[in-house]
Amino acid sequence: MTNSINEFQNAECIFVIGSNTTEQHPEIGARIIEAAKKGAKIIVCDARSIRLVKYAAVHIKQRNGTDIALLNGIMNVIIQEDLYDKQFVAERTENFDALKTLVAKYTPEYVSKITGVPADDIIKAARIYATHKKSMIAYAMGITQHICGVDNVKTVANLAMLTGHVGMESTGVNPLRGQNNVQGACDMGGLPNVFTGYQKVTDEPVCQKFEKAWGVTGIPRKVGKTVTDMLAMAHKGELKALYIMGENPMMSDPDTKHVEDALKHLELLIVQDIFPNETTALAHVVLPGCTFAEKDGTFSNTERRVSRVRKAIEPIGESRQDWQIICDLAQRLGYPMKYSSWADILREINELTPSYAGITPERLETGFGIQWPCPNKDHPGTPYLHKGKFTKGLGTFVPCEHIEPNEVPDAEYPLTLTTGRVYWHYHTGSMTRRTNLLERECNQNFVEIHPDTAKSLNVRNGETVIVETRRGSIEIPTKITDEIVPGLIFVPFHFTEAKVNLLTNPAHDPVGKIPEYKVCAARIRKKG
Amino acid sequence: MKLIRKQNILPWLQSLGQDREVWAPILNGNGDLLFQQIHEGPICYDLKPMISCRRILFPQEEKLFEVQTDGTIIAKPDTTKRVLFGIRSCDAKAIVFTDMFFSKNFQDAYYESRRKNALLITLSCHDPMPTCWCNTLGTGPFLDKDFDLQLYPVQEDAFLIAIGSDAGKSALEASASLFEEMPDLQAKARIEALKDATLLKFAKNIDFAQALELAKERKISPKVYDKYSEECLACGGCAFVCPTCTCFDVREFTETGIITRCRQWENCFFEGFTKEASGHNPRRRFADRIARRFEHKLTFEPKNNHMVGCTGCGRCTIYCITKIGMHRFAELATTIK
Amino acid sequence: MSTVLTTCPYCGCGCGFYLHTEHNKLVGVTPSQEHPVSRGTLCVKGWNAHEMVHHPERLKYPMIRENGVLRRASWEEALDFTARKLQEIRDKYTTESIGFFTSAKVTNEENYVMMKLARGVFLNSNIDHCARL
Repeated sequence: MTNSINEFQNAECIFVIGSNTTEQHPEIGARIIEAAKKGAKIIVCDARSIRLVKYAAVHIKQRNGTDIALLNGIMNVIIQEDLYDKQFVAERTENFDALKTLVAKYTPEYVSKITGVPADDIIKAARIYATHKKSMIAYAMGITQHICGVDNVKTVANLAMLTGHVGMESTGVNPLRGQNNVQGACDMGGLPNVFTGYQKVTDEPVCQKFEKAWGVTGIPRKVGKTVTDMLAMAHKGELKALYIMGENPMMSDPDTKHVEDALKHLELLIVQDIFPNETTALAHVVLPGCTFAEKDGTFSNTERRVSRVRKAIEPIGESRQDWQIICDLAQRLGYPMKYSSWADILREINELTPSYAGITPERLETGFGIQWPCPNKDHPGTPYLHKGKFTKGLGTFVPCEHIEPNEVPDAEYPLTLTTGRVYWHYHTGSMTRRTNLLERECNQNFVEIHPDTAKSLNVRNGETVIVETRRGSIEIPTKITDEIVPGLIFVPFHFTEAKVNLLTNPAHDPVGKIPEYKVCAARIRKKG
Repeated sequence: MKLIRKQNILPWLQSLGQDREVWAPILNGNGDLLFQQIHEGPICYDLKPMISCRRILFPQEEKLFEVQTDGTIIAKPDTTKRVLFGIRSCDAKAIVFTDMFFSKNFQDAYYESRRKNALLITLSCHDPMPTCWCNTLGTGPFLDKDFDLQLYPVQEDAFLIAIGSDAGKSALEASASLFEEMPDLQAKARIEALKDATLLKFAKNIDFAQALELAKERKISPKVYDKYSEECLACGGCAFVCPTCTCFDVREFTETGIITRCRQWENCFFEGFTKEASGHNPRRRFADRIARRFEHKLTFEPKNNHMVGCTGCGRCTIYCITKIGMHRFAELATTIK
Repeated sequence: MSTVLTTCPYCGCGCGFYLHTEHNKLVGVTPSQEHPVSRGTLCVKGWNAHEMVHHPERLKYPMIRENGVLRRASWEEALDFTARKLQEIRDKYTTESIGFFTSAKVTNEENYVMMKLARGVFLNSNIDHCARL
C-alpha cells in the first residue's frame, strides 16, 4: 500500500475494485464503512454484490476481466471533462500524451459495450473519484489474478496519477495484501528478481554487497524462475528438486492435475509445514515447522508495518522454528549459517537493506512496529509513500489496452467461473478448517449461481451439481443468490473436497506470471 | 468506615497474594489495559479493561475432561484461590447474572469452583466511557451489594472501603495496620458526593431507557435488526467482550488415544449457533439472529429471570469492529419505528 | 496465565493481539486496544487464532518417504538426508535444477534465511512464493 490503513476512515472517496474488503480485510472494510457513515462516497467495482455495495454511491458490475477497459473509460471521462490534476500531471509525471491518446477511444459508450456497465455509471464514478481531494483506491486479487494483471495494476496507477491522488494522506494506490506476511516475503527478496528491499539481482554493486556480507562468490546476476515457471520446469523434468516452506501449491495453484504431475516428476520434494496437507502427501521429506505462536520474529503487513511476532509457548512436539531448520541445513551443506536468535538475522537485514535499516530489534521491543522505508535508527517510519516525489523521479503513465481474458465463455462452456475466499476461511484452509467455530460456520464448498442461471440449468438451491472446465470437474452443491450476476459463477478455493483449482486456467500474465484465477470458461451439469 | 491510601493498596494486595493469585486491571508498556496478575505491571484505577474478569471465571477455552485409553475420566475444575481486584459495578453485576446462569438448571462445576474461590473487590466507577449506560439500568456506577469489598475513590490518593461479606471483612483484618478510619457520616457524604458527580458524566445522547422499554414490550421494529445486520461484520467480538454472555460451544478431539472435551466462547450471531442437526435453521437470516441476541438480553431475561441481560458496560460498542453494539441498537431502536 | 503481544497470522491487515497462555497452552486472544490496526477489535479468524496451534494433526516430527510411505525420522536423519540429496542433485545436474518456495506465512527473518540459502549457498535465484496466488 502506498498509504496506511488508518487513512481510510478519513477519505472522502474510496474506489474499491477487485476486493471483497469486509470479508477478506475486515479491519479495512470496517474503516471504509466508517468513512461512508461520515459521508465518504464509495465506488464498488465488482460483479458480486459484496457487503460494501450497501454503502456505495455507485456499484459497477463490470464483466470479469475487463478492468482495463473500465478504468480507461473512467480516465477518458476525467480528461474529457477536464477533471484531471493538471499541475500534478505537469510537475510529477511523464508520458501523459500517450495516455491521453490511448484512452481517447475508450468513450463511456465504447467501454459500456466491452464491460456491460451503463455509460452513466462510468461517468458518475469518474466524476466522484476525480472531484474529491482525498480519494483512495483499494484493490486486491480481483485486479491482479488475470493474464493482464500487471497492466491492470499499471492502469490503476495511471488513474491515481491522472487525478493527483498520490503522495498525500488518504489517497494512493492500495493493494490489500492477502497474507499476513506476503509483504514481508517480497521485502525479504523471496522473489526471483530481487534481494531484500527490492534491490535487483541484475545490479552488480548490489550482488557484490551481498557476496561480501555473506562471504561467498558467484551469486547469479540473472533473474530466477517464478513458482509458475518452476512447476512447468518440473513437469518437463528440468527441475529436479523443490524445497517448499509453508506453501500448499496442490491447493493454491491453478490446474491442480498439472501441479500434481509436476511435483510427482521431482526427484526430491522437501516440504516444511505445520499441518499435513495435499502437498506434504507428495513429499520425500517432511520437516515440521512452528506456528506463529511458537516463534519470534517480525511480520510486515499490507501498510508496510514491520511488527513483532512473539513466542508464547514452546514448540509443539519436535517442531522447530523455520529459520533454525534452514540454518541447520545450510550448516550441513558446508555453509556456516549461525544465528543465535531472530534479532541477529534482523540486524543483518538492517545492514543490507536501506529501507529496513532503521527497523532494529531494539526499536521493535515496545510499540506496534515501524513502517518502511525507515532508513536509519532515528527515522520514524513512513506512513505514506511518494510525498513530493516518486522514488524514480517522475511518475510515468503506462497506458494499456484492454485484452480479453485467455478463456471466454463459448457454446461449449457458456459460464464464467471466478474464485476467491469466504470470510470464515483463509487460503487453503490448513488453519481455519482446523478451527472449530470457523469450520462449523462453513464446512463445505459451494458454487454461487444467479437465480436466472440456475433456472436455465434447472438446478435447485443446495443441489449437488458438476462444474466442469476444460481442465477438470468437481461435484459441488449450489448456492443460489442474486448477489452475483447472471452467467457468472463463484467458487471458493479453501476446500480440498471440491478443489476449484482442478478447474482454473493456468494461463498467466507474461510479466507477473500470475495465473488467471478470476476468469475461465465453465459449464454446469446436473448430476446423474 | 475504613479508608486506604493509594500507596498502601499494593502492599495490601501483596499480602492477600501470599496464598492466592491477585488479579487487577494492569496497564502495560504499550498502553494496553488487561486484567492480569499484579506482578505483571502497574494497577490502573481509572479505566476498566477490555475484557472483564470474565476470562478468569469463564475462560475463552477450557478443558472440561479427559477420557484416558482405559476409559478413566479425569475432570479437574480449577481450584486456584484468587482475588479479583478493581472490578467495576457493571462487571460485578454481570457476575451475579452468570452465577444465575451457571446454577439455575444445573450446577456447572467448573464455573462454581472458580467462582467460589474468588474474592471480589470492586472499584466504584468515577469516569464512565461514552458508551456506558449502567446509570439507566441501575447496575452502576456504584453497588449496594454483590461484592466482598468495594472501594470508592473519594480523593486523589485514598479510597473508602465498604464491606459486603465476611470474606471481605477478613481480607481487611489481615492487614489492619494499612487502613485508617473515617467517621461514617462523613464517609457517606463523601460517597454520595462522588456518586452525584459521576452520574453527571454519563453521555445523554441516546435514550437507553426508552430503548429498554421498547425491547421489554417487544416493540422493536424488525427494520432495526435489518439495518443492524447491514453494519455488523460478524466478528463475534461483542459476545467475547460482553461480561454477561455465557454461551459456549463444546468440542472434542482425540490425541494419542486420549479424548479431550473442551468448551469455548460462542456468539449467537453465528449461523451454526442456531442451526439444527437436520440443517434447518430457525434463525436463518442474519437479522433474525441479531434480533435473538437483543431480545434475549433485553426482553426475555427481564421476563424470565428479573434481570436485564446487559449491565451497560458499553464494551460491545467500543470493541466492535464497526463500532455498533448496544449503543447503535438503542439508537436504531429509538429512531426507527 | 501469562500474556504475550504478537501479530495475527491471517490476512495482511496485521492486527496486534495478546495470546493468553496457561501451562504452555494457548487459552485465548485479546486484541490490543492501542494497536493502530486492531484498535481493540479483531475479525472472527483473529479471535480464534489460538485454536489451530494445538490441533492434534500438527506435524510433530520429521518424516522421510521410504517404500512409498512417510515414516518418522529424527531431525539428524531428516536433515542429513535432505542435505545429502540436495548435494547429489546439485552435483548430478546443475544448481538451477533446484527450486525454492519461500512463504508468505513465516517471518521476515525466515524468509531472509531461505533467500540466503537459495542465493548464497546454492548460488541460485530460483526462489519465489505465493504472492501471486
